[in-house]
Amino acid sequence: MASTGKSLDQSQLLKGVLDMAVLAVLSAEDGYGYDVVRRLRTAGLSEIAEASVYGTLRRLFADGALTSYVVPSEEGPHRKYYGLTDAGRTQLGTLASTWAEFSGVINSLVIESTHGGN
Amino acid sequence: MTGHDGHLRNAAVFAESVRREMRNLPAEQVADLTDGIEADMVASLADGGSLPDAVVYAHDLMRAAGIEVPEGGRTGTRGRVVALGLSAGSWLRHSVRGLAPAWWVFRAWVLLQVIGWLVGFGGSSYWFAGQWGGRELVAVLVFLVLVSFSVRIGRDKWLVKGRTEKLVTVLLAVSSIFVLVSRPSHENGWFVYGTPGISTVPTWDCSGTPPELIGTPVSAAVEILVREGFAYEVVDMTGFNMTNSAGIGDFRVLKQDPHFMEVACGARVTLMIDPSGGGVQTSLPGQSADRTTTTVPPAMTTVPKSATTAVKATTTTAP
Repeated sequence: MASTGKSLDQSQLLKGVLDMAVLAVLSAEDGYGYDVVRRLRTAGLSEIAEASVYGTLRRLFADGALTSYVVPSEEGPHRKYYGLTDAGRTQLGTLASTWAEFSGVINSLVIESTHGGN
Repeated sequence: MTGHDGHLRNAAVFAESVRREMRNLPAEQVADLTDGIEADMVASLADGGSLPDAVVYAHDLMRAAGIEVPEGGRTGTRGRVVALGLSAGSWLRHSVRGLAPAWWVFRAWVLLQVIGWLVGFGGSSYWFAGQWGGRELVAVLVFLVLVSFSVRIGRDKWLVKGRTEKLVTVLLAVSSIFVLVSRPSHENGWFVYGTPGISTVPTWDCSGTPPELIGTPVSAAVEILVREGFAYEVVDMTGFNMTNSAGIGDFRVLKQDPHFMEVACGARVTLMIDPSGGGVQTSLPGQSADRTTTTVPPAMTTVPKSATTAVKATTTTAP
């Protein structure tokens, strides 16, 4: 979806919340890179770029929010699985609180503007 | 190539392209960033996805990981063309790797030819043991040994490694070209080292100077052919096969087809005689005209009735 000024660019919106989305997906169940992508897309983030997710996973891992382990595959290359660490769960909680507050503000702004004109 | 194998190959090529795009980063960092990328790409392709642009992908990956994309990175049309070329090279390299077993067998065959040539067995008309003369059985045994060595070297990196392996590969490649252009040619009948038809080395290399069969008695000609390992047949002027006919040993050979200089050793040679006796001597010097065939191999003792009748008829009218 292109940013035309008339519609919101999902990829632009994702930039600020991708960490939280990835952590949220992995809080439910460990997963490898493409598995995370698939779950995000299934949830509705269809525009998400795979490389962005993989880079985010690497960064979160480097920051200590994620743990990683390798699962060998008989049919091909090994898969690198990620899971949340305690630090990751704490970070997810913080991000979720911030997001709830932020989205609440935005929602009320949008609702007010939508209904204020009536 | 199955879909899964194709995905594996494409993912490997793609991952290599991405890593190449990150060549300015420390190797350890590249390894961290791209570890598992093949598996993710295989899963994506299996899910109906397509291969993204390796340059864009690498930059997205770096940005998302919090790594600054270096200035001067390949971007724009030129960068994509370069990346496409490198990807094509990677794809080709991976594809060629799949042909490794064929190469292991082929280089064993090349070595077989080179060994045969060095030992000096001479050429034959067979592709398999082209330089081993009539020693096909020995060639087969040597070939099996060479294949086993070649496979071990190729698969297990046995004895030959690194630069030595590359050097050997180049030498074998050059040798294969030499061997391939030096094949015995059936078309011009010359066994050559080099461009077919240019060499002065004749096909006849069974032993010494090729003997002249035309004008010699069939019995003597047959003896030479059998001794040198040629297949043969004797026909009359109409092409009727008289190989097994009795009493043809004293007839002079009128025509030999093909000549020794035109075929490799072991080929089939046809001798033509004129049983009607026109211009044909039916006895050897110092021998009586009624001499019967004694030097024709035993296989010729089975005589077709019609052929026997024809020969008897002609020998009685011969001078």
